[in-house]
Amino acid sequence: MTSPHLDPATAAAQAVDSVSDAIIIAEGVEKWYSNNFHVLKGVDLTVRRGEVVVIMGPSGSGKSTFIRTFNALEPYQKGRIEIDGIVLAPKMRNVEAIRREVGMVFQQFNLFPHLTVLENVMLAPMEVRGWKKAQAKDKAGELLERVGILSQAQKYPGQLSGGQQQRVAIARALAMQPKVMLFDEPTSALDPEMVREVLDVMRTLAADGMTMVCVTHEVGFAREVADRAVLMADGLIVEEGTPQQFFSNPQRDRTRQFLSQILH
Amino acid sequence: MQDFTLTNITYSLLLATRWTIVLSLIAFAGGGLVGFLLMLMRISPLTWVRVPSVVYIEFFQGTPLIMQLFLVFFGISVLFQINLSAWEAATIALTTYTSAFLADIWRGSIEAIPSGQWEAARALGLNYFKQLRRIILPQAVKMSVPPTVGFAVQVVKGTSLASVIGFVELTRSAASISNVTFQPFLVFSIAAVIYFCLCFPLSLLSKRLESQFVFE
Repeated sequence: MTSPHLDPATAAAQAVDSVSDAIIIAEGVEKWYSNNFHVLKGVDLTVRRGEVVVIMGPSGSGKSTFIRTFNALEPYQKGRIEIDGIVLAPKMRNVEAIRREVGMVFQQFNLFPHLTVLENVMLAPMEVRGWKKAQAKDKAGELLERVGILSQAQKYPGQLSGGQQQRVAIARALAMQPKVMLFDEPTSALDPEMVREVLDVMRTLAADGMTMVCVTHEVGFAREVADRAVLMADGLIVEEGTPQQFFSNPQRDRTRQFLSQILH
Repeated sequence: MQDFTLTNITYSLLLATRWTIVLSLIAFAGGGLVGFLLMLMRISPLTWVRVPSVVYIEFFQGTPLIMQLFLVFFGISVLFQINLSAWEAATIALTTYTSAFLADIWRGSIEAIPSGQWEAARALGLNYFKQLRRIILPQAVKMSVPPTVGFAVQVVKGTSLASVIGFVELTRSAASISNVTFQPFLVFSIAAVIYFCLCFPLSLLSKRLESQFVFE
């Protein structure tokens, strides 16, 4: 964990030093969209095991695109990304091997509407890990209980509220027993009264030691749970530090400006 | 001279209707099979897989079925030095025709599935074929059933064109009977009623299925 008294540069340097401890290493990641828009302009980020990193930034800053490169949902053109010791090459053959280890939660939940809640959670362990039905069902039940949805297990996603759907989506990702969880604005599509139930699940997850990279604007969550907060703007990381430094004493004008906008 | 009563005209036409039904079923089954493969090619991310299917689909959608029947019936015998029976030519032409349209109908259903479904499936580590089989196809099939059943009507009506290459089905039989009875209006009216009785239930079914899937 990052000690609160370190300045951001030292903290980052330490992170790079302890390579064995790093689970995500991104170096100079650059990406252009097909219309030549330069969305990532050389982003470096190292995430250590058990660390919770929150990425903030204005829309269009490339933060979602950046975390989506970690499970190869977005290809990148330059730089290097290493996940748990495996280099994510731009045109790699066995990309599923990485995706198995990296769970992702989407802004729009993306649950499978033709499957029940239980089947949504059981599907990937059975199809990808080759688990038997009984084993997948036990695990799914356990996870649904953990996110507080077990009583809805036989319903279809369309019958649940947004907050419930997002909790199922978290359980679905966890069912693969990933080493890292990526959260892409998990509460942005939710009605305000449902944000808390999702953040509570994420808090528990962090407390259990899960490595998490969260794109979110939930400042309360970031202050309380994150080990590190990162600001991205215009395809670059502008500032990173402990939440304490980041929110109370930001070093960059761009960060101050952004925080004043989201803190009203 | 034999006397043609309404009953035996209708009876003769109904006998010929069997061939209309058989040809429709074969065209639909064969067209479904070929169409499914074409659809898989059509949605492939690989250009060299996709392009041949686009050419095929555009060709068979962009030319009249009657022209395709002639091309198969006369063309194959010229090109390959084999004589196709009217029956074989009609089967081949209707199958290719049906496959081109079904491939497009099904491609449309697959493209209507939100991209987030593909992403979620990919993010969980499912490979391309499992993404299709477990996530995309089950949802797309539901959506494609009404237009597929609706297209069956086009296939049934399309079989009537097989009469021009000498395949004896309902239309061809009606033409022959009207030649000997000198009652074309009566004979073709009965034939039309028979076609309607085949197609109308399919249209109804298609509409019902459509309204059933609306709430999803």
